[in-house]
Amino acid sequence: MSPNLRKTHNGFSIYLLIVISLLLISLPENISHSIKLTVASPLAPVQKTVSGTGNFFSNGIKKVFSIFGSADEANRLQKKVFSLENEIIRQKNTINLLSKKLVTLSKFHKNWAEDEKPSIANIIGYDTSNLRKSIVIDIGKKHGVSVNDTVVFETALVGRVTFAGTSTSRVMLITDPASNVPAQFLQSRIQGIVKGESNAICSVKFIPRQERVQEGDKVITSGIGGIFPKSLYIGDVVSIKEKGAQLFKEINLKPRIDLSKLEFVLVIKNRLSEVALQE
Amino acid sequence: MPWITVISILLCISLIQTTLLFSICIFDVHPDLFLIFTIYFSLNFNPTRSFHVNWATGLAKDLFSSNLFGLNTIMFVIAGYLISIIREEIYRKHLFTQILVTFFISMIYNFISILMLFSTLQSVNFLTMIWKCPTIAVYNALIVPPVFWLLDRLYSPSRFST
Repeated sequence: MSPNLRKTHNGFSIYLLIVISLLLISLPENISHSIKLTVASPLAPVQKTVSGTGNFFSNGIKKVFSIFGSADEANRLQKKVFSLENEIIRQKNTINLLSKKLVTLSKFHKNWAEDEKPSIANIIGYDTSNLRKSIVIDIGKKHGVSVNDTVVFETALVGRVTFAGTSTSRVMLITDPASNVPAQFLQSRIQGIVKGESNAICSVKFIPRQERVQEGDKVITSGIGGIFPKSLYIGDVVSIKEKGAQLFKEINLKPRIDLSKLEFVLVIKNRLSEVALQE
Repeated sequence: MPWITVISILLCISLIQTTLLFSICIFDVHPDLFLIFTIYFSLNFNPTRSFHVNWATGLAKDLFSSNLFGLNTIMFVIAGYLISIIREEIYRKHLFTQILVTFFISMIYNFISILMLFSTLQSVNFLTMIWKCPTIAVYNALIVPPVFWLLDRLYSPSRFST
């Protein structure tokens, strides 16, 4: 190829790539998600293997370090306490609701509890961006997963499905800056929104400054909006600030689940999308 | 560097970035191998060649991220362009220069990313996210020596046009 022709060719390819980039940016979200998961899906089995191997070695190293402190027993007990605490929170909430005579569960919600069939999904990939918090799980449409399905670990909230591919799905974690979860305080029943901040701590928005909130208060899903089921444990309040003449408190919340240490999650079907499909 | 090598490296980076790097998170931040590869390529190869590779690297990052699709392709191309402007003026083979360039490019890249995120998601708390810029930049800069050494071993740039 002559130097002039090569120069023209290079110039043309640069313009072409810029045009393609602009086209990609202007694509609707569902199409871009579809492209992402379709192109990335051949890598999913390799990701699963590498994740599994990585977890195996990571757990192995942790075990080696914890041999001296009979860590196995502590680990087992820790898991049991974790599980029981989650259960207590769930039961406390029910008792609370009964005592205030506010338990008027809809037929829809009752059905949700009766035929709840969560699917287990392995985490096979994480978001490449430091500013976003999402995971890729190894189940998709063919396993019954659909957009807005709730993702939990035990009875604590992890996030929701934002895109379901054929055999993989992307889950937006509650720590993602785009995540907003309608929530309420377990004891005081004050409602607010739990928002991701792209780090290990979330914030609780729209809590009026006159409301009484303490460090350590438990926050659960309120069920408002219909995307997240009611009474899922989200996390505990770690700090509260009241600045100047601001109308709302600045509340930080530590998620119940350490999202960076999860290996698998449970996916619960979103009842609203099912009802909509049936209708 | 032949395209097959570039694609293989990008596949490896994608795999490591989406799986293993989360075990070495510090302050909820992990190194960005895609950006480091872009910086390496822009420092060592001619601007036209690195333009194509940076675009492909940005695309690979976009494919595994929930960010706006196509954003990284443009950002990486711009990052590469910025490096190509200064590459003849600096002693680019020196490790200290490479660390410094990585630090500053990471700062600029993440700052623009946060601005973009802020403009697309109105509810993002800009001030709580901005502290992430220096953390990511330091982490990226710290990981430069082993990554650049590995890439140097993999393909010596001196064998190709610079």
